[in-house]
Order: sequence, then structure tokens, then C-alpha cells
Amino acid sequence: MKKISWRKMLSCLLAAGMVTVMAAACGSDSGDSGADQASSAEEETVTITFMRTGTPEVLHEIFDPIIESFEEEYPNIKVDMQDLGWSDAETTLQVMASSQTLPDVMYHLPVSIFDMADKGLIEDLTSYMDDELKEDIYPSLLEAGQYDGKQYMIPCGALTLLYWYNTELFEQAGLDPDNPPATWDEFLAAAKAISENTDAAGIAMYGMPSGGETSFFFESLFASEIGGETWDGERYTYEYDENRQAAIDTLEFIQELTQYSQGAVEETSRFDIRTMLRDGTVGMALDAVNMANQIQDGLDSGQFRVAQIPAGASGKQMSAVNVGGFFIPTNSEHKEEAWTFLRYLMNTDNQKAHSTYGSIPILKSEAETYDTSDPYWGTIIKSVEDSVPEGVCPKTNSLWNLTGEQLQLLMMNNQDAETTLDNIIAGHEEIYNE
Amino acid sequence: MKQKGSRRIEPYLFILPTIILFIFVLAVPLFNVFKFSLGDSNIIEGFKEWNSFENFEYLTTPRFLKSLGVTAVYVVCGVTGIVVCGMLVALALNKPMPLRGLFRSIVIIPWIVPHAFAASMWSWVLNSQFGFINQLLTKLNLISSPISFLSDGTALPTVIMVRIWQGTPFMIISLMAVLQTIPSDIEEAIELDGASAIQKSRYITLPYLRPVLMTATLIITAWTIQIFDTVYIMTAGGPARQTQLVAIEIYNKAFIDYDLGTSCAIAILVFIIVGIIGFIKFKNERMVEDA
Repeated sequence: MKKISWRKMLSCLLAAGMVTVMAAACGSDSGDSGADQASSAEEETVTITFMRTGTPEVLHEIFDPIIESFEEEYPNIKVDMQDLGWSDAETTLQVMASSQTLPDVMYHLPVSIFDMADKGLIEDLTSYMDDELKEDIYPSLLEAGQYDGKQYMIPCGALTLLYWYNTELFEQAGLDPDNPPATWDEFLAAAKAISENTDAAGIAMYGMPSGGETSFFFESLFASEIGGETWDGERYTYEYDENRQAAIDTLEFIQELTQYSQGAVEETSRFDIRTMLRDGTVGMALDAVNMANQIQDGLDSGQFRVAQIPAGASGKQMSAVNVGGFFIPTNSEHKEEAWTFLRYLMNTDNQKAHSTYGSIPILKSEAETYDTSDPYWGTIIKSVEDSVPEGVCPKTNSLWNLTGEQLQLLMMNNQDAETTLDNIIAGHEEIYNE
Repeated sequence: MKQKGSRRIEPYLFILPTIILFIFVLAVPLFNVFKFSLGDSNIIEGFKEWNSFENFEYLTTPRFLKSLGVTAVYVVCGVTGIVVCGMLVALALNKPMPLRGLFRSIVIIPWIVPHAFAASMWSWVLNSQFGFINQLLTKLNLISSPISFLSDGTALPTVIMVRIWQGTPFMIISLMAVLQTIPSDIEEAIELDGASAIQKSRYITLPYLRPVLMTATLIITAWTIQIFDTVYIMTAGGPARQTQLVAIEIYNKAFIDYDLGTSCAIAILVFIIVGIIGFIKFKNERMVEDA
């Protein structure tokens, strides 16, 4: 057999390569007239990327029909929905932001959004918003999406703290389920009665993980104690110094509640308390609207009910509101199309569908579609009407973490309310000054 | 002449891919860690400006020193537990017994289970409200109220126990490989001389095990210092920072506080500690080779 030298083989490969390149070049030149028209039509079609943090399977069920109808209405805009789970959301978001690859429309939480806004990565949507949308969003929610006087986030998911209770355990404890506690004193008395007269604990409490969840719990009760906002949105600080005694009273209330809880509060998460209430091991719980998913059958049968959180010294049954929302990054090359899609998502029907993922109503027009004479919806809509925005700034994660750690110490009875507040104030001061 | 030249280049060509990989995978990130630690840095913008070693000041704060203390307890207790359990199980499995092969396979399971999965599993097994262990103990009337395994004062021992569970298989595998190389005639000879089991361990088994035991212990120590996922999932560093390991501190600084500079300063400290361990390991190997 004749041997082929490596030089011959190399020249054959080069020749074959050149022929391929020439053929490809000719191919792209030929047949232009027909393809040109098709490609110009394609050029007009813009594809935008959309990402909603959460469970992909559930979110696709909600958003796929919305995207389909949007694409029918706007045939020149295609939407590519991408998935991002909560577990790695924060790290992924920061990496995407650093590489300027954030999707055209995205959902996330204000802490990260405001931090990115500080770095010039988020589009100010103030000028995009029409009056109809501004007036339709509840004021406290709209405010929660603002930072530095600008609307960086359009709220589309929100949570208030609500009071959930087991009517059967109420009756066993000699309490009236039709008149749930409306003040802190009544609430403590109910927790005590359930603990003493039934096999269940009075109230489900959670202290793990230290961070946003427990901080939100404290902030909501504190808002109810002072009857207003707990956060100075201009100085980006909590209003503890101005309301020192109210903050101590709130912390003492939390510590007192702990004695009627299921125990081991520091290793109990917000998810755990939902199971506890469902299983009847606790009589009451303070939790967001997500509780409904766990106890839906009981809510339907009347075993469980929801009410607004009890009022502190102010006499107002109000909660802080925790918000997430849509934003458009500055790296988006299709901002107009992105806004068109975002605005479409905020239509009443679409937002209502989105709220089924686990949110209180965001739009007044959305709330109007519910029967407010139904105690469930009546309570939920009242809670958003009476809510105050939760304090958020780029340093919020650090502030929440510190508050959460101090609340754990309080709930473990390792320190009193006054020490807890002093530690929170001192710790926050350090973070503000960093 | 030509052949000589190509022979001279040949070894370098072979190691070139490794060098390129080393530069991209290790040297570049390492350089960045040092760079970020020297100034105000965050993940989105990278290095912003020099800040006069301000990031390293955090390493002297009581908050960080507490984390360092927690990590020291976690590493010392975890590694000691792994060495003791590993040695006991390896010695037991080295004896002839029925189903020895099956047991040898079973003991490596904790090592092959992903850390995140293991952490979630243990969290559920140990949960004070719904956990299997508490339910079992309650049904057997051994306890009247649930034990809080991840609570005040118990969380650190619990995560140490999980670390021992995870790390022991590596020690077992390492030691069993050596135990099988001990010549049987030496063991028989010392038995004929009337040596007790303790004497046999002291004069035969341990001298054989020592080099591998040293190396495996150092490797386990370096791994344990870097543990993050298991503890983060089980306790997130709580309650009240009782299980706040240095690795969790690095994560929190970078992704919660958006302070990459301080996060990198802590990472450098860990790098130095692990580097010292690596150096000791290297010296140990050299001594064994020389011997």
C-alpha cells in the first residue's frame, strides 16, 4: 500500500477547507431576492428575555399562557422565558449583573435591585409608568419599589403578616373563633389558653434562619405598636431611637409569645410552622399569605381562619409589607419592548394570575375582582390597604441578618428585650457607617 | 541537531496544557482574591479602589474571632472523631467476618452522598417537631419531650457529628488499604511471641499506619476547614452564630453584605492555614520517603 506523506495530507485538507469556504460564500450570495424579504421581516421581530425567580414548573403554568397571548397581540416581540430557582438566585443575579447579561425583564427582591441601582445597572422606570398603573398599585407597595426617589421596581408580589388560627382548638380552649384576639394582650391570653387547655402549643414561632423572615416579623409588630412606618426612607435607617420604648415593648411581646410556642424556636423555620398549624400541633400562627397553600382544605371547611395581626399600643392592626417586583436592567438592548411586556404583565388579569403564585393583591383593580364580603379576601385586602412598606436599602441584608441573630438570642431567652434593642441599634449603626 | 531540539521542547509541550489550566483555574482566581482583598470590591463591579488594608481589620473583630473559634472547635472535634471512628471501623473491617465485603461497601456511602443532600436529610431526621429520631424515641417512651438537636448549645455538636459521619469513610478507605499490606508473617510472629493485642497494635499496626494516618488526617483537616454547604443548609450558621464557620462568613460577606473585599481577606487567611497544612503534609511525605 502506498504511503501518503503528511505534507500531501495537509495540502488536501487545506484545499478541501478552501472549497468549503468558497461554497459557503457563494451560497450566501445566491438566492438573495427571496430570502431578503423574509430576513427583513425577521429583523423587525425582537426577542426579549424574561426571568421570574421561583419554582419553574409552577411559574411556566402561570406565564406561558400570558406570553402566548402577548405574542399574539405584539407579533413583533417574542419572549424567551428563562428559569432561576430561589436557592441560587442571589449568586446568579450578581454574576449576571457583573457580566451585563441580566435578562430584559426580571423579577427579584428590592435589596438586590436597589444595590444594582446604586451601581447604575437598573433602569429608572418612573418615566415609563402611566398614571393608570401608578394609581392602580397600592401606595405602600408602589413606595416599596422606590429608591432614591426613583421607581426602580414595579411591585408584582407582596406579603403582609397575617394571623392564622385553628377554630377547633379555639373552641377547645374556651375561646370564641368569631372574635379572634385584636390586641396584643388578648393575643397573649389566647396563646396561654390554648397552651393550657389543649394538647397543642398556643402559637407557632420561628427563629430560623436569622435574617429577613424574623426581621419582617419584628418589623410588622413594631409597625402595629407605633401605628406607622418603622423605616425612615430618606435617611435609610430604622426608627428605633425615636420609638425606643415601643421597640422594647415589641421585643418583650415576642419574648412572651415564645413561652407559649412549640419550643426550639431557633431551629424552626417559617415553612415548619405551616405544617404545625395544618397538623393541629399549634393553635395560632403569624405568617404570610403562603400559609393558605398548606391549609387550604381547612380554610374551606372552616377549621382555619385568617385575621389581621393584633394591634399594639397604637390600636392599629397593621403590618409591614414585603415586596418583590419586576425591573429592567440598563444592559437591556430592547428597553421599549421590555417595558411593553412588563406593562402587559401588570394588566389586571395577568397580575391576578401571577398573584396565585403566592401574593396578596398588588392592584386595586385586582382586589375589586375578589368578594370582600368573604372574610378571607376581606382580611387580605384590608391587610394590604393598612400596610406600611418594609424598610429596604442596599444594606438591608446585613441589617436583617444582625436583627435576626439578636432575635434568636431573645427568643432563646439568652438576653432581655432592652439588651436586644441596644445590640440591634449598635450593630445597625456599624453597618450604616461601613 | 533537529531531533535534539525537538526533544528539548517535547517535555514542555506535554506540560503546557496543565500550565494553561493551572493559570486559568488557580492562578487567575488566586490573583483576583489577593487583588480584591486590598480594596473596596464587590462581585458586580470587581475591584473599585485601594482601602489601606481596611478589609483585614475585620479579622480582628470579636465577631470574626468568634467564628474562628467555632471553626477551630468544629475542625478539632470533627477531625479527631473522624480519625478515631475511621481507625476503629478500619480495624474491625480488616478482621475476617461474614459479609465483610458488603460492610466495606456500606461504610463508604456517607462519602459518596452529596453534601447538600446529606445536610437536608440530617435536618429532617433530627428535626425536633417532625424528625424520625425524635418520633422513634417518643414511641419507644425513651423521651417525654423532643430533643432539639439544632438548638441553643446542641447545634455545634450536631453538625460536628454529621461531619464525622461524612468524613469517616475516607479515613476507613485510606487505613484499610494500608492494613492489607501488613505482612501476615510479622503478625503471626508477634502472636507466637505472646504479644497482647495492645502490644501488637503499638509495635506493628500503628507504625505501618502512621504515614498514611498523618497524610489522611492533614487532608481531612484541610477539607473540614473548608466545609460550607452542610452546615449552611442545616443551621445557616445559627442559632445566634453558634455554628458560624469561617466558610459561611466568607459566603455571607460576599453575597449577603456585598463586601467581596472582606470576603477575600478571610479567604486569604483560610488559604494561609490550608497552605501551612499542605506544607506539613509535604514535609511529612518527604520524611516518609527518606525513611
